[in-house]
Amino acid sequence: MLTLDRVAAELAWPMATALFMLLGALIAIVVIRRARQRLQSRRLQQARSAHAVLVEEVRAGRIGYEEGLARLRALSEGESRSPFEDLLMADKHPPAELAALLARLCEDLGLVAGWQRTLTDRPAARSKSRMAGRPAPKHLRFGPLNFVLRSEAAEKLGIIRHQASWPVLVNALNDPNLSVRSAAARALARIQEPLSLPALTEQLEDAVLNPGSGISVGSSKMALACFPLVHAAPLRRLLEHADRRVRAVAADVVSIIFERAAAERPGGRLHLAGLAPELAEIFVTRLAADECPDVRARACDVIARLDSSIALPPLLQLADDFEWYVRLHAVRALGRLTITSLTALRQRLTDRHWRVREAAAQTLSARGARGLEALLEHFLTTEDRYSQEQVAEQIARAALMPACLEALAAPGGAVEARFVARMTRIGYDEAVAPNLGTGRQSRAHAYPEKAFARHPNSGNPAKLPQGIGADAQAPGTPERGPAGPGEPVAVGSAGPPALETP
Amino acid sequence: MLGFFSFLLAAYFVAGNGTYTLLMILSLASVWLHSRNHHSGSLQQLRESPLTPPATIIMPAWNEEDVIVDSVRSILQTDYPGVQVCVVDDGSSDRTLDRLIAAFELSPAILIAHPRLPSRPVRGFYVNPDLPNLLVISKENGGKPDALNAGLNMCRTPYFCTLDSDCILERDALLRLMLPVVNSPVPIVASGGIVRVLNGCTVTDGQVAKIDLPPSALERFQVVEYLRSFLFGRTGWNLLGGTVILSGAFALFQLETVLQAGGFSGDTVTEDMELVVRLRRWAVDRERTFRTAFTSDPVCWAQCPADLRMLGRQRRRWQLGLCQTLRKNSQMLFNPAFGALGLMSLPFQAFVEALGAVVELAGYLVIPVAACLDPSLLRFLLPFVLLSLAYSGLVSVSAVALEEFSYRRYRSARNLTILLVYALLENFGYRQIVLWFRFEGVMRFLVGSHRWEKVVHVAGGERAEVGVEESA
Repeated sequence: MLTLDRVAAELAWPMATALFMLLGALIAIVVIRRARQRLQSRRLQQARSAHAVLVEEVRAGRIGYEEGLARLRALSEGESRSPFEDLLMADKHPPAELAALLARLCEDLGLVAGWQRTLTDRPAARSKSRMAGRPAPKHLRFGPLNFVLRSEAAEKLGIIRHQASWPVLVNALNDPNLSVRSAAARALARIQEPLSLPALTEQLEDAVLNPGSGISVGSSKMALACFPLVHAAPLRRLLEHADRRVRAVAADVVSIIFERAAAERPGGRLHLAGLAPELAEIFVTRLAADECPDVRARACDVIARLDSSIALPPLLQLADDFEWYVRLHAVRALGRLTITSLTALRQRLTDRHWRVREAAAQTLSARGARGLEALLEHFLTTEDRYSQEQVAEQIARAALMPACLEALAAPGGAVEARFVARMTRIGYDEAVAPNLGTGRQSRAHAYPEKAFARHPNSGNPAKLPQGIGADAQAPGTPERGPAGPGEPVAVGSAGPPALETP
Repeated sequence: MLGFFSFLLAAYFVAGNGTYTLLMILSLASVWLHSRNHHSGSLQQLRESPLTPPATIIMPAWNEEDVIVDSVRSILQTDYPGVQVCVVDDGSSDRTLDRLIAAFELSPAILIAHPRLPSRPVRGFYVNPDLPNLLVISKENGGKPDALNAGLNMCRTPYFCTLDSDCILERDALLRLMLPVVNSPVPIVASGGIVRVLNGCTVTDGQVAKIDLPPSALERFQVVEYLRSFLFGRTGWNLLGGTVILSGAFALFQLETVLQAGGFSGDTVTEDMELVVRLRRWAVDRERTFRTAFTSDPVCWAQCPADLRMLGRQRRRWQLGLCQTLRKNSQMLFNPAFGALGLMSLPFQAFVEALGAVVELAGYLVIPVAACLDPSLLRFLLPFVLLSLAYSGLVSVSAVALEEFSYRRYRSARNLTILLVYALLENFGYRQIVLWFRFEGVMRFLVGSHRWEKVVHVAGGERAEVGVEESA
């Protein structure tokens, strides 16, 4: 009678034997493969040196293109296809000039045609023009693993920035495999063919509205953000989309494009006349008033890159938005303008959300001497404890304490005393004490060239000097008057701070 | 009775090894494809794009004076745009904080905290304006989960990465960890990478300059074990959607999700595993999409225990934490609402990894006794033992083979030979030792122990005196 143990005993021996044989075969495969790779690696190393020299010589004009091409063909005879391609594209991020040369070489060697055929899912047969080596392994050419080849083909077309391949890459955006679609998007971002933008914007729209169907939102955004501003007009459709998520994501992309374009211009500003008028109009008048707070927040980043005279009014309005993160973005954006409103930034120091207060303090401290003046004036006049703490934290964190004390120093020391007293009251006495009476030279005049001074080593903080530690502010104590030439920055002027002049 | 136990042993063998086989097949294909399909273009795009989400590396530290400065130097060199570093000194009794202050010229700063998670009181913050992306928090001792929560309270980036203080991160590891998060069409809540054994490697300027195998047998066995665990186990479970753990030494999480789920919990000694499982439960409760990623190329190098005493501490803690996590989340077992995690992964962890330690140890005792009492059982038991040895050897050798076919970090033929030999020898002594430690871990769970046994790492040939830290 068959019993379980009999069955087990009958099966166990053959299975154990089979497993031991499998184990032995696996070890043999590993060892043989390692030995083969060692030989191949030596050969590749020699070939790499030869290829690199040849390509460099053609690039430098030391040998003619045709001669270089012929010698590359000769070198590639007998090589496997993939290693040869890898050798040609050893530099995955070639400069434009080298990319153009590689594109031409790859075209004449038949590689581009092969990659294009791979992407359109045809078998990787030999090209008529003596393409190097053998075709790819069968297990990759056909079946579900073919996506590896398609993905590599898209990547390589992107590395050499083969302009004419853009239609093939646009088609590949609809490939059934995610990694192929992502590689195609990256390649299109490198090539930056304006005609491919509508397809990429459709991908972004699809990614937002139907997650999981195409490439990720992150990949789409990154691809689109690589395009220059002059080609950004097709993004208008997304900026006017009915779905607020699409508008928000599109605004993100455009803000990156704007930022890059602005950084390339003198002064880091974009003139309205140089923009597509419809784009500027969309941001300044429509997106800044969009119903969706995510869109309004992102609009701040774009508006900040325009001329200050155009950017200031909408940003001031957005700094009063009812959503905290819109105010946060607006405050940060105000900090990027050459002309800004210190008053508006000061008002945000008493914002109800701590992130906005923090951003306002950071923005003011980065505005140089006038920003520091505004911070100190606010600190000395406000009764809002949260606001005081925020200012104190920013002063401590940015190592501005010496500069503050220098700025407040005056005969009699009443203002300085009030500052110290307030700092002490909110618990910042240990940050203040080491800086008192040190005779340190002022660095306030170094703003904005050097924003931060080194914080003194307060490992053993001195005790507060006598007479300082309580609020020494008596009613009627005169504030210091306007600064004279060569004196530290005055604090306590009669009216609210004026607009900062460029 | 013996026959019944033999049947039980055989059933356990089939269930456990059947699952391992499935994980192995899935992982072999996945890791090989990933290594083949990896494109540098995607990393470069992530590196250059202003749209790459900023991230904070949170590094809790307790009595790590020997390694902390090198570790922080290493992560400050991380090739990632907008990376922030937050080191949390969890009330060290040695000079960990002093060394950090001296090495990075830190000064105390009074920062406003807006904590969303409870933690032990913070003693102070330390910053250097010339290193604006570095923040050191000094707090009262509360254990690793507590220290991580203190770091989360000061984290401002949408993602954070946990990193142990004795680990070295490869420069592009964080980029690789973020890649699946950015590329995935569906939101990724957590992303894990592979931990490799640092022992034996040469470290220069905070980076691994030369990869080599450690000198001792114990450490070499652990190299094989780590390869098997990460290349097979984690990869396979991630493919099935049953990820239970992303190594706490090195994992990326979405900040807001973790905050809403309550942060790291101190009621188990493996807070990393407990968090991943709890995140899954939290997502199902709120009908949110939950996806994790595990990729085999972002690398963190960590020291492994160099002697049996430290190995025992590590493995007991892991086993204890596993049991605690399973008990805490027992309602997820066999629950279809949690997908592969509830139907496959957690039952596997419970019956094979957790209880399996007891079953296997019992097997080592029962089989010889059974053979003595009834020699006729030998015709079943002997091939069974050989079968299990062959299978275990095959899994370990397959892990080494996969490493060879994919990343080949151990380049020399000598190292490959050593790895293969140790993969074969693993089942003759090392496995049994680890089994005993795992059994001790289960026993500690049964008696209700909650001791966090710290593993001491040797630096510069000196061994620090250490006790056992009692967690809060």
